[in-house]
Order: sequence, then structure tokens, then C-alpha cells
Amino acid sequence: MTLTRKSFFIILSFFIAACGSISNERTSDASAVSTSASGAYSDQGLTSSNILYFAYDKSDVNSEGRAKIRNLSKIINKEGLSVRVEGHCDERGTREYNLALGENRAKTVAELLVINGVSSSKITTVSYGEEKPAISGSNENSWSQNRRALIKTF
Amino acid sequence: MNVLKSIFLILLLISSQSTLSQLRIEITGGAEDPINIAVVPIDWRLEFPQEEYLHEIIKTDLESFGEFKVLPPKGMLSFPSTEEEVFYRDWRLLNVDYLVLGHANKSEIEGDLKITYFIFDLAREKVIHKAIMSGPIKSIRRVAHNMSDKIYKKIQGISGIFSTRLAYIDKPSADDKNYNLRISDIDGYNGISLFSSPQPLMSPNWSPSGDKMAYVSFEEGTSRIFIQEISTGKRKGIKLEKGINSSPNWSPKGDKLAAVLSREGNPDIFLYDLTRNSWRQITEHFGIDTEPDWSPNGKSLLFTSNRSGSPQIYQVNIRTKRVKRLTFEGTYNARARYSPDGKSIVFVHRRDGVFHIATQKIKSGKVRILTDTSLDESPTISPNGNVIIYATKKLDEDILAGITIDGKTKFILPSLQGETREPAWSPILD
Amino acid sequence: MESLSLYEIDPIPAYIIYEQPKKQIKNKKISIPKEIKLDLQEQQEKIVISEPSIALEEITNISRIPKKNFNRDVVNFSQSEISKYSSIIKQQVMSQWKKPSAITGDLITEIRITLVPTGEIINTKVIKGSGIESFDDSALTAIARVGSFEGLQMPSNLFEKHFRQFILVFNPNK
Repeated sequence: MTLTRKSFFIILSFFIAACGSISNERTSDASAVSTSASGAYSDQGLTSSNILYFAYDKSDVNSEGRAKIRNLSKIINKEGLSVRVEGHCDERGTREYNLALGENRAKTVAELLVINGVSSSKITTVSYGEEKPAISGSNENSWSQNRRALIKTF
Repeated sequence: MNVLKSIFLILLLISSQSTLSQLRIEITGGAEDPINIAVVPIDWRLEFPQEEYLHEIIKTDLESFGEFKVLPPKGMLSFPSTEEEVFYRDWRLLNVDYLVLGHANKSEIEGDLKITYFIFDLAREKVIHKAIMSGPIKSIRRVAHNMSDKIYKKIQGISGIFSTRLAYIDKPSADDKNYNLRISDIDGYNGISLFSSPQPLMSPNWSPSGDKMAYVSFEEGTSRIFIQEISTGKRKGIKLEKGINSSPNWSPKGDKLAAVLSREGNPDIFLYDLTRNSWRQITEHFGIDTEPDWSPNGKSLLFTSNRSGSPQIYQVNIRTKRVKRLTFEGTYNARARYSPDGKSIVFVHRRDGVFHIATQKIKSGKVRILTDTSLDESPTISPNGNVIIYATKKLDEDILAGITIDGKTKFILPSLQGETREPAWSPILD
Repeated sequence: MESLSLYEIDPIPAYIIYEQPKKQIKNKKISIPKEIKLDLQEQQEKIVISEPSIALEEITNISRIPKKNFNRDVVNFSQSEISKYSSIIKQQVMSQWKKPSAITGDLITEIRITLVPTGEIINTKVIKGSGIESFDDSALTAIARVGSFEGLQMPSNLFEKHFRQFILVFNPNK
């Protein structure tokens, strides 16, 4: 019990520390950093049930992924949660093209959530391309872990 | 009169005949060796000692791309500071092709110095350039880079790039948890951080006048394009649209940005008018269109598209919106940049699973792979079209490397802070 | 390298080019390096001849050549002889030509060379420039570095017909 509480606080403090440290005084047009999104910037706090993996250069979801989506959809609808789907790629290829590939992955997952009954108004999608890898390393082991979509609920 | 005319014609015929029959020998190439140049330590005629040596900075500059070999002072037999003190034969014995010498005095302008210098062509025994360079003593490096530019231009015939700057992005490290957008002089000195954020930064792009930077920031939880004034730090996000907002690329006139929006359902190329603050769609295709680059004449854009099944380079006329495919070799061609003369493109090309930087003359369609490194990306071309800097990996770390367009000289950038990516070469700054 | 925070950056002055060196831009602390090009006095292009006395001798010898040589019928020399000496000349010029590596484009410069029989170059003239000064200059510099061609001992009538004066065509794009 104490262990879970401890890890909760650790995770919480991590989220607080990770909230943007940019001075907003200099921005004239930029909107304020949205605090609800700031907590969802890393893979931290996610279990494997929230992470889907993809084949190289592909955005189609395999059966394992579809099962995860089915399960998550039930929880999301039951508890009226909002969803943020993040698409990611491995480092190969150009950065901006990977941003687009990441979006394909996020959108594919979002579509499957909708098919599973989640309201599209509750879903936002973001692509990070290759900018936020889960793990560093230039080998297939690392790459396969970076080709992912994260389903974050809040 | 007629007799005179015919004599004249005959003479003309004879003289033209002799020119025609004159032997012509074709010189089709030259020596591959670097040009040998000696830069004599400038005769310093100011009261206080120099903090940095001009000749050393010029030596480093000129040797950057393998085009010059600079004789160090210890190899010199004499240290002339005027024309009269030059003994051509001595310098030719040292196998030197060009000689630079001069003297530095205090300028009439407060805080400035004045350097009178000469460039000699030793084979022809003549002065080919003579000038007075003035500049702030505080920025002696800048003065030196300016001299390097002038020397380079005189001998090579194209602009030097020693006064340009490079923008790049640092990723978080053990020492700094933030992504940093940095700029530094092209030789790595005077690095400053323009913007720092715990969220990713991407795609820095210089305005044509070199006073602003456009880039992508994820600080708001999604990709958004920002424009920042370099001297003041003032920044502003441009009109945010749903989905991807990225890949900003400044127009040659500085009045528009080409960029990528996926608000219509998939990534397409759009133009952003900086005065009207409005978006205009340029490509419309259900596939991925991204990575626009503006042509030097402002009439067309290069972009990457997978409309044929895999990423290839295309060109679109901004006015007619007509799209033309440019690359046909290989299954992955992306992130193209025009050369400054608009006749070639430099881009990322995958061959046998390896990502290289390649170049192609737009008309011929023939791909020439430049790099032998792998996982190469983000090529940026020097404003004189001679050198390419790009991002690559060395022992699993992100580094910046460079290569001359003829492929002969390769180098790695002096180690900058941490792991760096996404280099962007500034325009000629003046 | 220190990374300065945004707040510490000195404003970089606007890049204004000003005519009078004495004028200061208000509020700008740092001036920009600038250059004033000075006029080069018209310098006589010096052809470097290492043995001027020999050259002179050759020139005076020529005037002593009996006239009948010039009245001879045009002798056709074999192409192989002409190309043999052309190759020697070409090779020596190429080895001394430090072509500006950075220049691209179809540039051609034609320079007329005048020799004396020892191989000394006594005159060069650009008869067709490329339009790019440094390209033409690099060709002239290459010729100056050669100074004197080696290995050009040949029958004097071959020399008179083809090699006393010829044109070097600098064309790297071939």
C-alpha cells in the first residue's frame, strides 16, 4: 500500500517538474501553456495496456493493439474520460516526414477508438514524430520500441 | 577605291586565316592540390597587445574545406608588412601561390581598428587586392572572418562564408533537461541559446535577412510554428491550426512562410502571409505533403510527397499549383533543399536501407550520393553553394558533419554542446 | 560554451551600411567590419623569365634565320607530332593550374601564348575571357607558374608554324 502511495507521489512530482519552464512574458500572441496537457508529456505513468506498437513505416494496428483499444474504450466510456493519442516514430528518415507518419498512427488509433464507441469529441491526437523516443539506440531493438502510439486518459 | 578594298579584304582574309590555323590546346582540368597561401602575422601598430591573432583565425577559416593550405609563421623566411618588403623569389621557393600581409593601426572611430592589407599573386608578381578593413577591436574575430571572406572571394571567385552562422538544436542531456535552439558562428564560437524548452523544438529556419528565426515548438502540447527576432528575443506563434503545424520555410522576400498543415485531414503545403496573418493552401492531396523549400526566384517550392507510394521530391509552381515529380531513383527521397543557383537539389536519399545525403541537377535527374555516413538527415547548404552541413550519428550520438559539394572534403563540426541536430545555415549576414 | 539566457543578449545593431566612417549609429555600440578597396596601380604583368639573356639571344637568332625558310612551301606536320608537343604543354599547364574549386558553370577562357624556342613564355594575352575575373586570373597564374615549358625541343619549322604562338583554351567542363 505504502509503495503505491510513494510511487504515486514520485510520479506526481515528476509531472509537476516537467511542466514547462519557459517564460511566457515574452510571448505576445502565444496562448498559455495548457496545464492539463502538460502532465501528459512523457511515457511515464503508462502501462503496456496504453501503448501500441507498429511495424516500420506502417500505421496499421495489429490484433494485439485492437484488443488494447477495445479494453481501453470500455474504461474510457464508463468513466467518461478524455483521451489524448500520441503518435511516435523511430529515428530513421527525415524528421518532418516522420511527424506526418506519427500523425497517421495517432489518427488510426483514434478512428479505432471511435469505432469502439468513444466519442470523437473526447479524443485529441498529437504527433511527435521521432522527437520523443522511449529509448535511445540505433538498432532494431530500440527502434521497435519507439514506433508506438500512446493512449493517455485523463 | 576598289583596289584598296580588295587589298583590305585579302589582308583580312590572311589575318583571319592565320588565327583559324593557330593551334588550340584544351586545358580540361587542374591540379587537385589545395592552393598554397601564406598569411603573414599582421604588423600590429597599436599600443595594447592583440588578444587574438588575425592570421590564426584566417588560417583556420581558409583551411576549413580543404581548398587552401596556409603556411604557418614558423615556415616563413621573412615577415613583410609592405609591398616593398616582398621578395617574390623567396616566397616562390616556399611553394606559396598567394601572400597576404598588412598592418593594423588605430582607427579614427572610437573602439575600431584599421587594417591595411594586400593580397599578392606570387607567380605573376602582382598585387591582386589592396584594401583597408575597419572594424571593432572588441570583435576581432569578426574582422578576421571578414578578411577571410575577402581573400576567399578574390581567389575563388565566389563569396566566402566565414562570417555566417549556424542554427541547430540540442536535445536534453544529463546536464540540461531542455531542448535548446542555438546559434553560433560557423566556426563554433559565440554560441548562444535563442530558446530553451522541456518540450521538443524542430525545424529552425533563418529569415532571408538573417534577423529572425522560424521554428516549431511543442511547448503548448502540439506542434506550433513560432517566429523569433534574434536580436531582441521577442517571439510570437503564428495562427495555430488543427493538427500538424510545422516545417516553416521563409520566402526569399521574407514576406511569407511555406509550411505544413494537416487541418484538412492530411499534411499539405500551405503558405502563411506574414502581413495578413492568413493561410493559403498550395497542395491538395490525400497523401503526405511536407518539407517545403522555397526556390531562390520565389516562384516554386520543393516538397516531399508520398503520393506515388513512397516519399519522393516534387516541385510545385506557386502560381499555377502545377506539380512535377523530380526524383525517380530509389524508394525514399525527402527533405530537399535548392542550391543557391536553383539548378540542383540536395536531399536525403535511401539506398540499400542506408540514408545518405545526395544531390541531383534538377534537369538531368541523375542522383549523386555525397556522403558515406549513414542515418544522415537535415542537409543545409552554405549560401555560396559550396558546402553542405547535415545531421548524422556517430557511435549512437547525434552530431553535425559537413562535406563540400564536390565530395572531396569531409569534416565533423567542432564538438558543440551535447547531441546536436537540425542544422540551418544562415544567409550571408551583412 | 556558456549559454546566455534570453535576457542577457546585447541587441545586435541593424545592418546598416554607412558612407562616412565618422558617422555613428545612435544607440548602436558595435560597428560592423567594413572594407574600403583601394585602387591597384596599373601594374605591368610581369612574365617571369629565369634566364633573360638566353631569351634575348634566341630572339636575335631568329632574325638571322635565312629568308628562304619562310619562302618554303607550307610543310604539313603529322598530327602525331603536333599532339605530342601539345600534350606536353597541356600536362605542364594542368599541373600548375589551381582552378578555383568552388566555381561551377560552363566557363571558358582563351589565352594566346607566345614562346621562344627554348620554351620560355614571353607573352600572354587573354583573347576571350570567361566573364569571371578569378577564373581568368587562375589561368594566367597557372601560365606564370609554368614560366617556361620543358621538353619542347622540336624542328624549328614545326615550332614556327604551330608553337611560337598558340592558344590555350581553359575549359574544365569538357
